[in-house]
Amino acid sequence: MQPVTEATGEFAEYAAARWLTLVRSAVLLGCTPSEAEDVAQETLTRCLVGWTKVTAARHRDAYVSAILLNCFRDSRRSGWRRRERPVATVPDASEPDRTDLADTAAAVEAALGTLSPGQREVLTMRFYLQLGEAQVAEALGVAVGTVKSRTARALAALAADTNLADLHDGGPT
Amino acid sequence: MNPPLDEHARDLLERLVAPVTAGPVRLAEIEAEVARRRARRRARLAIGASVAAVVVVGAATVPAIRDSHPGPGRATDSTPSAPASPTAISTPTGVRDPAGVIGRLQGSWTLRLTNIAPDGLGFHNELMDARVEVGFRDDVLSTSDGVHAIEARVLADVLAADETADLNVYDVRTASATAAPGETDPPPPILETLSSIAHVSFQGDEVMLSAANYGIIAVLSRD
Repeated sequence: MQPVTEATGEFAEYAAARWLTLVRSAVLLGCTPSEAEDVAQETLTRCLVGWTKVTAARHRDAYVSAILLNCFRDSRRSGWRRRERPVATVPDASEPDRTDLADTAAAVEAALGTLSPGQREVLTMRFYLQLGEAQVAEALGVAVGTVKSRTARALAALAADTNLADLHDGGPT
Repeated sequence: MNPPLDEHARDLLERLVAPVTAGPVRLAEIEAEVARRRARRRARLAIGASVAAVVVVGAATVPAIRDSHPGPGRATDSTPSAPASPTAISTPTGVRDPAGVIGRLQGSWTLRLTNIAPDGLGFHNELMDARVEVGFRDDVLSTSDGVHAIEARVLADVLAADETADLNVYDVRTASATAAPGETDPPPPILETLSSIAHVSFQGDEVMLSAANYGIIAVLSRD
């Protein structure tokens, strides 16, 4: 058994580098920000449990994105939230005023809300995590053609969404 | 309205998550949780895994031991599963070693008793400092160093991924309180120790034998 401490150095660097990306990816998949931190935390926990597999993966970020996706899907199942663990200190939730960003985000979120879960997953992995179609297909366990079709339908749905019209026309950014 | 092109998709997604901030990654919590999960996994495997070693004493030896040491109060006489006859003890079971436990135990070892009591609780006993030579040949564990000859038939079912497996030794009642012929010193508590072994783990060149509470009560080495 590999002691935790042996993986801590490399793992710590990776976790610190990917933490915000994982949180934001979970938001794109459909989590609230607070849920997203839990999903990201669980993702990194599973990564550390199988750190040798993570480091041996051909494309580490794709492998971790698959773990993230599994964690997100688990979070959608009943009972997952009851397993949240209390922490000793509550993180400071104060943030600068980002009203304009929030307005834009709300519009995008509303548009993403019209997509199917599969389309949303593909969009997140292709365009936020910037994985290739083959990597997305491997992570999702579907054919590359499925990734392409879901991507095309998702983009078409976003193109037709009126919530995003202002953004395309130079609205709030 | 312009349809969002591929390059716009990332921009859209970036806009969505731009307000999302997160505190620092909680590494300590992650490591603590990983440790908890590994401990739970070990516990599950300890329940589900089964590596059984049945200690048998040579059929020719057992009656002599019983005849010459019939007194009550021997600790091993209370073993509930003790068979009624030597033939019942030495039921052949064959080698089942899919995880390679027995294979890794093959050959001669020095069994060093720690100063941890057979029940896994720590207390010092000078007898516990004893070393005896033991050997594994196929599924038979044997030793005759300082005690009457002991043979143990071993069944190995599962070796956990973290290289800790259950080791359940029973039917070790016969010769535990007797010294080898010609020996004047009390025998080392080899059989008591064997009967208390609940787990075995491989650590480098050594094999740790531990009681049910994971207290290491004996160590095998190739010395």
